Formats: sequence, C-alpha cells, structure tokens
Amino acid sequence: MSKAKPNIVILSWEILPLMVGGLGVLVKSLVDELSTQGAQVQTIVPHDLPEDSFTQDTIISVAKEVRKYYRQKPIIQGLEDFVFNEFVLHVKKQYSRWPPLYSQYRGRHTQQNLYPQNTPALTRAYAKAVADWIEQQERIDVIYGMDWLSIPALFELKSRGIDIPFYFHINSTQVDRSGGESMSDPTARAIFSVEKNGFPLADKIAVVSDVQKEVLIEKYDIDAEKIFTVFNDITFEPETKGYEDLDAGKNILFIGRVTPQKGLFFLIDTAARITQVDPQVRFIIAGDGTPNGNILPQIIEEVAKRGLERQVVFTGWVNGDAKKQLYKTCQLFVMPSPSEPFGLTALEAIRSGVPAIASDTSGFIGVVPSTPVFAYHDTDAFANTILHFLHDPKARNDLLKRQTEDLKDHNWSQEVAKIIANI
Amino acid sequence: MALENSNHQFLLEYPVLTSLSLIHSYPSRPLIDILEKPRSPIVDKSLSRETWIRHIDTLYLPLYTFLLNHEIRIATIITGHFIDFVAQEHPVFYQVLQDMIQKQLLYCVMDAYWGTSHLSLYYLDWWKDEIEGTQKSLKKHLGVESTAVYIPLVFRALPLERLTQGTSVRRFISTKKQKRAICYETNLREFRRFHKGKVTWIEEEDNVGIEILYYPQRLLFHMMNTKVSKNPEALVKTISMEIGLKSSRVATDIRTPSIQRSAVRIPEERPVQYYNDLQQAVVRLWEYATFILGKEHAEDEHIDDDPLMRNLFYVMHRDFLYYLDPAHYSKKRNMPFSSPYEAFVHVQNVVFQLETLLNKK
Repeated sequence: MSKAKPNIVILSWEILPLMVGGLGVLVKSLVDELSTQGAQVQTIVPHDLPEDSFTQDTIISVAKEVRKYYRQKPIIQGLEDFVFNEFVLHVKKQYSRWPPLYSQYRGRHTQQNLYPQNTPALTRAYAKAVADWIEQQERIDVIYGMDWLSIPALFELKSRGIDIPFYFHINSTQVDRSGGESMSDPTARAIFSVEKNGFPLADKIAVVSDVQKEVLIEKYDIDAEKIFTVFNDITFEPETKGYEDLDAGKNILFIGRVTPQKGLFFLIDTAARITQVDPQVRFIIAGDGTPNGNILPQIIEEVAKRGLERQVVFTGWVNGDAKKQLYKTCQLFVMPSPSEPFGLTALEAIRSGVPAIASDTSGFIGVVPSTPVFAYHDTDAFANTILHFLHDPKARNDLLKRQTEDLKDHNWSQEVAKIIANI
Repeated sequence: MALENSNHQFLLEYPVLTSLSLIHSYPSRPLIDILEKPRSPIVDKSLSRETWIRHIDTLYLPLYTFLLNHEIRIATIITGHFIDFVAQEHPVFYQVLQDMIQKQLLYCVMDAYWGTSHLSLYYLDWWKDEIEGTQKSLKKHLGVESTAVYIPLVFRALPLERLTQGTSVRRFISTKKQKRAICYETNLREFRRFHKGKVTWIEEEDNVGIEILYYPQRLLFHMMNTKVSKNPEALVKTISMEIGLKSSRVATDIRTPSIQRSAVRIPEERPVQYYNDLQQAVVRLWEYATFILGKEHAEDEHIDDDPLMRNLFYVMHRDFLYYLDPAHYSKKRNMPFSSPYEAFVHVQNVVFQLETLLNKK
C-alpha cells in the first residue's frame, strides 16, 4: 500500500454545504486536511450537487444511479434482514407536518432533501451505485465510510469480491441518536441491528471521542484494538463582535439540531429553575428540527406552557456569520445532550471566547478536560453551574483560560495524521 | 339612567353580530434578520394597504351590499381605524355604510381604535383612549353616537367605571358559548361587588346603570375565516345567506332572549381560560410589551403620537390569536405563517424588537 500518497474514497451522506448537522462540517474538514497532507480524496454523495459550489473531480454524485437502483428495490447480500424502507417518526405525528421555522430564509441550505423518509431504502440503492463506481476505478487504497449509511455499501463490496480495506469513521451511532434511551421505535431498532452487523466487518474504526469508543466496545462488542480516536476539529475563524442588541449580559447559548438527542427538554427544565433565581437570564436556542426528528414545536409549546416566553428565544436555523456573531453575543455555551459523540459547536464557542459547560457524556471533554460537567437530568447541578459562571465573571474568565489552554494541545493536523498512519 | 331602548328589543332588532376590522401585514422575520437590520419596520404598511383594499373589495363590500339590499339588520363590531381608512380610501363601501346607518340597518359596537380590545384586560386608561378614538371617528364619518363597546371577556375585576366616567358608554357586548342571547341589567357597584363586600370606590353619581349583552358565539360572524380562505367569494356568499337566515329565524323565534335582572350574578370568567398555551403566552407577551411601553410613556408624557405605541397595537390585534391555533392550519388555508409556532416566535421577536428600541431610547 502506498503510504506516500494514499488514495482515499469517502462515502458520506453530507458534505458542507450539503449538510444538516456536524457530519457535513466534519467531512469537509476531513477532506481538506487529508488533501493538505498529501492524500488523494474523493467523496461520493447520493445527492445532486448544486452547480456553483463543487468541483466535479473531488466530489462525485451518484444521484442518477441511486434513483435507477431505487426503482429496482435492491436487496443487499448479507443484509437480507434489512428491508426497512422508511423512517418511522417517533415524534408526535401532529408536529411532524409543520415546516421548519422560517424555511423561506434558508435559501440553498435546505435540509429537508438530504434525509427523506425513504432514506433506509436509499442506502441500499446507494450501496449498489457506489460498488458500480468503485469497480471502474484503477486504484483505491482505503474506503472510508461515514456512519451507518455506508454499511450496506460495505456488504455490497464484499459480495462482489472487492477486497479494498474498509474503514468506518463514526460521527454518531444509533445509541447516540436515541439519546442513550431504550430504542422503542422500529427505525432505531432496525438501524442498530444494521450497525451491529456492519461495524465488526470493518478493518478499522475511527471514532470522534473516547466516549464513543466506550459505546462501541460496550454496545457493539467491537475489539478495542480496531478502534482509534480522531478527535474532531474544524477550521474556525471567530467573529470579532456580536449582536449588541441581543446582549443583555446574561445570555446562554445553545446551537444545534432541535432533536431528542440534544436534551432540549432538560435545558427548558433548567431554564425554568434558573429564571426563578434570576429572571434576567436569557436562553438563545439557535437551530431547527430535522424532518425525521422535529421536536421544535414541542419545545416551543413547553416554553409557552412554563411561561418562559421572555426568557427563551428562538432564532431558527443559523449558519456562517450569524452563528459566529451569536457566539460573541453570549456569556456561556451549554451542551445538555444525553449522549453527544463529540460536539463541535463547543469548540467553536471556546475559540470565540465563550466558555462551554456540558453534560458528562459529551465527547469533546476528551479534548477539553477542564470543562465543568453535570449528569444529564441533574437539573440542580446544571442550574447551579450556569448561575455560578454567569454571576462570577472572574470564574468565567478563568474557565475560558483553562479551556483555551486545553485546546492549544489539540491540533487537527495531528488528528488527521492518525488516519494516514493507520492506512 | 335611561337607556335608548331595552335589551330585549335591541337583541330582536339586531340578532346577529359581525366584525369590521383590518389586520396589519407582518413581514415574518427571524431574530437574526431583525438583529442585522434593526431599523426595518415591524409591519409592512404598503402590503397592509393593498391587503385591506382587497379584503374590503372581496369580503366586506359584497356582504354589506347584500345586507343593505335585503334590509337585514346587523350589529357590527367596528374599529375607528377601519372607518378612517374606508372614508379615505374606499368611497364605495363608505357609501354602503352610510346608507345602512340611514336606514337603521347597522348598529355600531365600538372596538378599540386599532382593534386591540385585549388592552381592556390590562390597561383601562389606554383602552379608554382607544375607545374614544373610535367614538370620534364614528361621529365624524358616520354621524353616529354609539354607547356600546365590545369586550372580549367580561369579568368582575374589570374596572368598567373608568370607562363609563365622562363618556356615554353604557352597553357592553360580548360573546359566549350558549344557545340563546342573554342580557344583564345591573349597575356598576353591583357588577364590581365581590360576594357581600361593599364597593366603596364608586361614588353614587358614578354608579350608573349598565347592560351586559352576551351574544351566542354561533351568531358572531367574525370574518377571519374568509380572510385566510382560498375561495373567499364563495365563503362570503355562504355567510351572507347564513346571516340572512339566522336573523330572520331569531326575529321570528318565539323564544325571546332571556333578561336577567341585577339579582342574578354575572358568571365570573378567567380572561385566558379558553386559550391554548401558545395564545396564553402571547397574551402575556402583550402584557409585558404594554408594561414596558407604559413605563416609557409615563416618563415621556406623550402617548398619542408615539410610533412605538402604534407598533404595539399592530401586533396586539385580537385576530392575531387566530394564527396561534394549530386547528386553523390546514391545506385549505392560506395563512401568513407556516405554523402556529412561527407565529408565536414572530410575536416574541416583535416584543424583543420593541424592548431593544426602548432600551436605545
């Protein structure tokens, strides 16, 4: 295998700006850094590409072939049990029909087409299309599959006798997406079963945090020696100033998808507790639900029910400059997820000069060990931590210093070099 | 105090209630957009004007022309802003209203000038200014001196004496879920009395007789449904026929409206009892916005022409609560917001914008 210039093919459902959450950002950063370090990288996506933002030689769209195979309803050899076709929504049905907040403002960054209802069936068509494309290539050193969506492709390649090393890069598992709770809905159970069959077949597995490594060992019975950790990071240039109008001096920021795995109800519980002590505190929730897990209406109703309409504000989906300015506007960043594989937004917040606090199941703590943590569901601990740092600017500054210091040792180039070293 | 005619007679003469008001068009904007362009307006005035003209042409004109031609009597909740706008911008409909007044087919029930009757729940002084604004407009353009006021919810804690003092307002009209119209004849002290307590704060000369009339909700035809309908013409035709039918039925009904004398207590109602969580939260936001503006005006001592005050009234229109009910969102409706949650966040953002503007001042 050539170590000088490895030829890597990434199988991904997202890549910036085709993105919904952290995966799209991660893949883009990964591709950029791998290229910088001398690898030849191509990313295969199942979507049609926007005309103006991609170069055809690094990002390959197999959308046409996916549509062709989708009509044929393919079965993947080795995954015959995986006949699941559509996501079954586990949020209240009445909420699922509401369109995303301020959808007309999203423009090109629309998310509803990336994960349509029939995504499980599309993964099988994608597997066939990917195998066809790989068969035509002269030389590939490693195939790099992002998350469970690329598992059918691994089975298809094996059934065709294509013996190229296959690595997984796990950004989130079904255990994370279910928020650490029992998998009561059929979608979660079917995907978990596919993951359990697929992950052990990989030659190596890269995970984004030690928290996730534990999950893979405990829940998926993966051999620890197969797993190596590549802590996430992205290139991030912070903004110099925030929104003055919004800055009341006591702003708490949450940025992320408004889905069950993000612990928003826990945040609202805590907000209710905090505003009893200090009514001036304002929680800013930036983000929106995804089509297959939109709980934003539920969250808004909860806020209305608890009388927090003045303390909790919603911005809708934000990206780019707006996100950077929001970081600069707030005093604290919170990550209340019951299970967060990594949490890139926390790193962005710290680099913007905003200290972050998080639940003890957040992956980024491996990189920033000085982060104050609390147990998920422990409203009192969460509320006390927030109030302490909000009311004590010195403690806040000290925390930021420690977190910034932690991040100095963290280097994305070093992390990506681990991938090259493992090839 | 002698009233112009008895309740009983009034309800027979004007058995159906409808509403004439105009709601502003709101550019629905995310918080980030407001933060980046803080000076852009809360309401879209040019779009509002276009919409109002369209509503009058497609909804009100055909309905009221039908009522005029068939000489159907009707009580109408009307805002001063509506009359001023019609007098300036829509002479045809203005003429229809004048003809109806002349033939005594129209009974005007005053709403607040901008249609913000919910102010009555919080700030009676402002509400009084608003009612007086409508009273002036009615007198100026239609030559009518109305004594009736619309109240969205009647409850004992409502200090009506502040409205009756120095004005000719004596009749309060509201709606209830019931089969028949009910009239209460009482006086202010009796209305405000709590159990056997004495009402000492109302002087003898201010203790005037008042009437509280509850129309059954089925006889209130507010036009919100038609405003968001994709086929308003058909809906207006249906409503016209229904109003005609119901007014003739009530007029010939042997079961006349019941009249309750002062011995019977007016049932207490909680103001926000019937609202869902989103609507209750929005009413609280209105209350807060009114409070912060009130504080501001108390310091500045100029209430009438302040654009901030007007901005508040734009979003406090009672019709706005319609957008917060998930039941009203369906494929058939053409709503300005994509969901009740977006409408809620919009009000949040507007109140935030007001707060910011005041802080800057």
